[in-house]
Amino acid sequence: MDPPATPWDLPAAPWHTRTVGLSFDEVYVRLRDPVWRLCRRLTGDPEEALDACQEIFLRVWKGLPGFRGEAKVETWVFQVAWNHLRSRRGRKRRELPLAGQRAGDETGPPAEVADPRPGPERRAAAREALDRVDRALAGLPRNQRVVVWLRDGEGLSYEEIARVLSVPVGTVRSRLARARTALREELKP
Amino acid sequence: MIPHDPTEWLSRYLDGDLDEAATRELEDRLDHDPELRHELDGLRAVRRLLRSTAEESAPAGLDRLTDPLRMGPPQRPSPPVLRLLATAAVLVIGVGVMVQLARREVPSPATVASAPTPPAASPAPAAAPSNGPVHMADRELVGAVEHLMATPPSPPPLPEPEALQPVGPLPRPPGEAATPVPRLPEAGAQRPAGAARTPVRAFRKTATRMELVVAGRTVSFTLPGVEERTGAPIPVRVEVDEGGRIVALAPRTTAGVDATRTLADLGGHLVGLEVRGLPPGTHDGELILVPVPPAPGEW
Repeated sequence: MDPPATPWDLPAAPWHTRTVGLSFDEVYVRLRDPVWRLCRRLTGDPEEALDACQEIFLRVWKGLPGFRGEAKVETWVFQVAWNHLRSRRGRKRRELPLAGQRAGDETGPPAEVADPRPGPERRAAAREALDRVDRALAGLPRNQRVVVWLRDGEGLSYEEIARVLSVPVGTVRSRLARARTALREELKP
Repeated sequence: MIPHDPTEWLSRYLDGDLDEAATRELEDRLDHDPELRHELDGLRAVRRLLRSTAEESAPAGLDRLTDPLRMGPPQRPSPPVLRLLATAAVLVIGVGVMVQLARREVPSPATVASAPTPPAASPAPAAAPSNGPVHMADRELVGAVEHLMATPPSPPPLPEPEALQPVGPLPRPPGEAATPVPRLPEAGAQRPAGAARTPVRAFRKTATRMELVVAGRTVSFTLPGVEERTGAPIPVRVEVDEGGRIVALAPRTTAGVDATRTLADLGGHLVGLEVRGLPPGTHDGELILVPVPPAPGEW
């Protein structure tokens, strides 16, 4: 597979033609939501996720002048995020309670992507699905959680995930399979 | 061949990660194995559920937190040494201020009772008699402040300076020869007997005592204001005339450049000295340079 010709691997936009010299604002606008979601899934707490996000983007801000396009910007930022979240775990051990430990925990069939219900009902369903996913993910080991989220949540390839986590691709495959199987059992009706 | 636990194959099949042969083999198995197909459907549902939640946006609070970062490019942090120096400077200044403030704190009751109240209009309270235990630092501070606050008398107006005109070299009268520049004597040069020695002007509070040891006798001579020099004894050869005066002083070896320079600079001062009991002729000896600290109040 040829290396990506652009930082974002999206050659249409003019600023994607640069491999270096990206402004922090461009990176932030592009990756604010994905990094937030990763922090949210791995910390399990909105407040802690916000703190982690701020520190991650501070690291990105400091490291961006030295970024030379060895990888996609997205991969590099996720790598920064993962390294931070992994080290942060030792300082602040606050995890989501395991699935099934919350009051009123209800498991049901996995929701579908396209929910035809409009307006508040749809938002409520999305909220419910999100809560279920968070609870199910909280029961996974962190190494599996990050793999399944980067693959199924953010759509990274096996190779990109391996680069983010600094592990072999085979490790990504096995962790992903175990994570999906565990989630299927957790979300089974 | 499909492994005994096909979970990883199913997961890879979902992502299109299996090669063509493995894909065909797994699809054949799925066609005849409803349980495996159900397992695959479960994995597919999990993936869809995760993707459906990947539209969550970051809260607005994150933008507020990162706004300072978006204002400009990162600045290179100052080196740790500079940061340490800056911290040390701040600490030193802070400690100094604290010490000054502590000195100016309200004195003890005994001090207050016995300390005289300085007159309000007194220009120099530090000079006023004080029988109480007033701290010297307080007096100096008060005196310094009043001294700074006092209005100095206006100085008399200075006359306007005259403009200087550039001049060239002074004209020399015709027929007058140029004044020869005096030259220093060469090393080991002979001084005429009875010639007056050049007085040495003291320009530094140091001195060097020269001790010439020759024929069992020691001749000592101190040169004030000469740069301090020490070192190993310098082997010298001394010529003494009929009157017992040193007429020449030269190094016995040419190995030491410093010895030659030292003799040129200092040894010449021994020429002309009279050494009692020293027979005329050539004598070998040693010149020792000893630094001499100045006596208190000497200069």
